[in-house]
Amino acid sequence: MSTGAEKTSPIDRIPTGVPGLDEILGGGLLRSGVYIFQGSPGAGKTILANHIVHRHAAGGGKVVYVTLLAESHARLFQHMESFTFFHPDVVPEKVYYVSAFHALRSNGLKGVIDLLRAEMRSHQAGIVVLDGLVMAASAAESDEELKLFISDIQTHSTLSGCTTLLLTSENADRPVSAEQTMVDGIVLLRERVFGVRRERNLEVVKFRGSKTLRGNHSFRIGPQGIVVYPRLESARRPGPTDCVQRTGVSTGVAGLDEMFAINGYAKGSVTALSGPSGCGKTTLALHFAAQARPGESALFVGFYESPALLGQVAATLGLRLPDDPAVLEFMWQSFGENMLDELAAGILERVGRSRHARVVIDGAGGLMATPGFSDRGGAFLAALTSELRALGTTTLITVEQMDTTRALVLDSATMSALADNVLDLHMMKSPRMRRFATIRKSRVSRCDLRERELTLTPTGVALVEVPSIGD
Amino acid sequence: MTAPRILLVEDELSSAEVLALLLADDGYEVTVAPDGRQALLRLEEAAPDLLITDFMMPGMNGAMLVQALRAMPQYAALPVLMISGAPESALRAYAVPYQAFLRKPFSLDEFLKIVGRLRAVRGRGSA
Repeated sequence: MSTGAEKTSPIDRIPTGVPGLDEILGGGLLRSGVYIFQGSPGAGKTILANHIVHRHAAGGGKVVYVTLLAESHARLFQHMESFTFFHPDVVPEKVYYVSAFHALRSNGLKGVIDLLRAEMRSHQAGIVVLDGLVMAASAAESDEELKLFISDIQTHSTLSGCTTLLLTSENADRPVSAEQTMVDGIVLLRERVFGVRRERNLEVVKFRGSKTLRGNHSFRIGPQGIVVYPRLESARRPGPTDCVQRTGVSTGVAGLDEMFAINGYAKGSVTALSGPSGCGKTTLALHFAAQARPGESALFVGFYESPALLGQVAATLGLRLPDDPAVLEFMWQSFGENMLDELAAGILERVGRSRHARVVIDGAGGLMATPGFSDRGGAFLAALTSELRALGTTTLITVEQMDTTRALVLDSATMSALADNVLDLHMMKSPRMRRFATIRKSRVSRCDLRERELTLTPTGVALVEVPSIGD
Repeated sequence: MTAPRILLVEDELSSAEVLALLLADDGYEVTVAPDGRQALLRLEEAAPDLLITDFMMPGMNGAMLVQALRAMPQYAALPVLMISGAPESALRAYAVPYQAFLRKPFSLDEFLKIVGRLRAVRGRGSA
């Protein structure tokens, strides 16, 4: 027998509405499910729960938010009003906040259960949040009593078709507890420490009834609430089947196109431009980006020089970069508070949205300096380049030679696995500064493996044959 | 002269305790209830000159409580101060007849000023 308004299928889902989270959960929370969101104070549980319930209300659903904590609802609203997901006008009609502290103090866990049951029914709630499970746990005289409390919540959730979120400020890494064994899912929120930096992340350690993206996923709390970035390597995406084509995409450098039998980089391929600082990597990358035109736009991802400085460098070389950001889009990321998956999401979102034909990542060092790269390096880059290939864009990534020694993830074997083409640049400083380029690898097209010299012409750099290096 | 009597209905215990202490310090006799239903049960004991009630409470909310009181002849004109974390605009749909509204969090000075004003209204009405 159901007391809910409508009979629901057990696989019905309630989308969380939190960017990235539904992808991790395989589509959302299960209707009637009971979930624990666990993390130390400040981990973001209350913001996450409020984000979910306000998105639910925006979609027409109703929510009861029950607190067992001393923090007043007024204080809670003050904090939440800074987020764009929070709409005070849906309170109290669609999101109803009540305190169960008095019920707990007067009648113990039974009082809380009675309150939850009554509020679920009277508000026809699709989601109920119980913020402060730790208070209920401390009020329980035994594990058995706490288990009965959770069991009662499950029964009422099932009968009413209501999804219940239990927020607890227990440390995410504490040993498995009685209540954890009973619920339908557990989401842990943690802060990972990288030197002086901390990065928020989230892990779904249990989720009945569906596959989830395993492992840690970073998230950020910003003005729009929470944005979760599913770990790129774990995200379920289509494989890059036959996306690299035997069609040349101009390198933008006179003399370089001809070194490939197909007159340029293979369309949809990834090319690594490697060499020491000052050897011309960014210069060749700018030539590639300068080929952007309407209908064949480019994205330039830079970590070092600002777009304005890149424009000046291009002008010095005799290159004219397109002014229209729809034709040449810059994504400049200064070193600092970057997160790997946020960077990857930003790049892939831009390429997908604008269907950029060309992408420059200048350079790999910017990714390597981001916390977490040392754990994931090669796998992350492989996933990123695989996604770019799948999008059909032709990618150039600059790799400083010092990068290869900094973290041992871009050694020649790794780079070879990541890149379809490898163009090595090197310098000779004596008797005068000269720069050279050699194709080390071309996966799709036959190529001329002879060394070429970079020379500056009035319209940019050109590669010319080197009759004798000793000249 | 008897002290003015206030029925304070608030589910958040910490807020209820602070407001009750403040009102008592100002010379009011305060009865506290954690929700609308409990408030009705304590009505006789409280015999209020003024009702201060939160809106969102378990079981019976502030709107339901005020409607129930308005149906009782002796409380049909009882001044009501409604307090809520929700904006006043969100409560309009409930058509609750109250005399004053304060959105939480509010300053205690403003709270006492409004309580004093409502008490004065009640005093004139019952004179």
